[in-house]
Amino acid sequence: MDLSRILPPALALALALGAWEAGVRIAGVPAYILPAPSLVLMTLWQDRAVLLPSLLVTLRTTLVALALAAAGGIGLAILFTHARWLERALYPFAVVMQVTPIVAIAPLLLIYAEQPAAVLACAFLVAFFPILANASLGLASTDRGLVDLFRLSRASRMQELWRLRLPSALPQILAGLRIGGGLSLVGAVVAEIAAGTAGAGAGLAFRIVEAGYRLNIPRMFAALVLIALAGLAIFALLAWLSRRLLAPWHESAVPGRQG
Amino acid sequence: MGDGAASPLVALHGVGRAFPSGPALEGLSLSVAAGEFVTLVGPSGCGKSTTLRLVAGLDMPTSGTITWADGAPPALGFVFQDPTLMPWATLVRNVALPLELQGVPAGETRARVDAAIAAVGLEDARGLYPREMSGGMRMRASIARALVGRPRLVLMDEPFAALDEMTRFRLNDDLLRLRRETGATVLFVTHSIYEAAYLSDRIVVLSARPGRAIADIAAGPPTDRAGYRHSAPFMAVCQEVAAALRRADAAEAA
Ligand SMILES: Nc1ncnc2c1ncn2[C@@H]1O[C@H](COP(=O)(O)OP(=O)(O)O)[C@@H](O)[C@H]1O
Ligand SMILES: [Mg+2]
Repeated sequence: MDLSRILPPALALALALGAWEAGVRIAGVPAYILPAPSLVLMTLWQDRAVLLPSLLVTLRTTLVALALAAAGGIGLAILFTHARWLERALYPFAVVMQVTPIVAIAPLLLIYAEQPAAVLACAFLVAFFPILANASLGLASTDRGLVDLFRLSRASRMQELWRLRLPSALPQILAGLRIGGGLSLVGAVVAEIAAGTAGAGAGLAFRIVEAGYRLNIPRMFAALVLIALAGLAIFALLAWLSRRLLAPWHESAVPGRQG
Repeated sequence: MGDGAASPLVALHGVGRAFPSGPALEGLSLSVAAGEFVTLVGPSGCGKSTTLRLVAGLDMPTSGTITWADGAPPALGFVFQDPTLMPWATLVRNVALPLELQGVPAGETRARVDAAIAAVGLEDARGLYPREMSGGMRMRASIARALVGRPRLVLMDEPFAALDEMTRFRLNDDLLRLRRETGATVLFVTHSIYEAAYLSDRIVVLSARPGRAIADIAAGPPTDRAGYRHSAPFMAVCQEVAAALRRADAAEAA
């Protein structure tokens, strides 16, 4: 680990939290308006029996949705490269899905489907398009010269797909996954808030709404912290995966460079 | 047009290729004898790359025919202007690609890849990715990949155009050595008159688009090339090619 890269943001964070803590204490701000970081941390621990299961629910929804969106988006992008007419036929639908805000779609989905399925569908929908779009772009921008080279060697279509198109699209596919990972958490949270009902499968966003009704502001903050941490974890996981897969050969992952 | 030998390895008979934007080639006749080094020169856009793609079977002529000594194309190697390596694969994996795609057994692939890498002098770069190699090394890798399938005919499309002159001179000599060692036939494209005169047995000058052969110049350098670049026969060939190119340009202006 490079200390000079970790230190500045760590210091800034510590400073901000310290100022917040001090400000709340000195000004005597009541916890139901703005809880101090120490109180949020304490709430996080005390309410763990409620918050942790909800964290798992939201994380599970997000990751399952991301996996489905990855399989569907990359799979459809592969189909598109083999059948252009299919792309022309289906792309408009994908675009409409993308430009319609998920907050507006969620209530409708909640009418048609059970809550867990509807939440999953929302998280899937927002993650699907960026993955599809990036994978399509990557698969379509294969080096023409390499395509010629494969044809000269009489490569089969399967060889061309696995040994040429997919590896060369990998940077774009991973970029799509990084965007899709963040968005699928957003989709899950939005749908949970729109659903707004308690139950066995209540996610973190529902805990925020619930705590809001009860004016339990420290717990709202605690749930918020967990959502932010979940988002960070997903981002870090996908960034790590990108670096792992692209490290030796792609500019974006070359050590010592920004990216 | 003078044919290289009685039975050419490949012959183009009145070949044309029309694109929606118009014809790129028209009535191009050309033959290459087995073992010969033939170079195409001509104004930019006159259809040199198109000609190589037609010979390689990557594109089909819209008129005329291409005939082969054995009835069908032999094993071909193609070197593009860009090295066209897979950036995600090491040198070894890049050179092995044509053999792997054709299902050559792993043991034989390894031996032939090693030989091809040694032939271009890249033994120390086996595990490098393309982004870790210099331009000259990448072009050597591309040549190794073209040779690994033991082609009878190697097609090269301005392979050294992007390299600095010293590297280009060195690769020119390496290419002549490889050609001697493998006995491969070479159909080469360059925009450098000097490179054409240095490498070739025969230089075919194409007219401006649509391309036709307008001159066929025997270069036939001595087997010992030391000092050839500065000899009178070399200069004579250069001047003859330059004069033909001026005619091609004049025809275009008219
Ligand atoms: N795939 C293609 N589609 C349309 N036009 C093409 C295509 N390939 C080449 N051309 C045109 O044919 C002409 C000859 O191209 P090319 O063979 O690349 O020329 P050169 O290699 O001699 O510079 C050019 O005018 C080019 O624009
Ligand atoms: Mg060209």
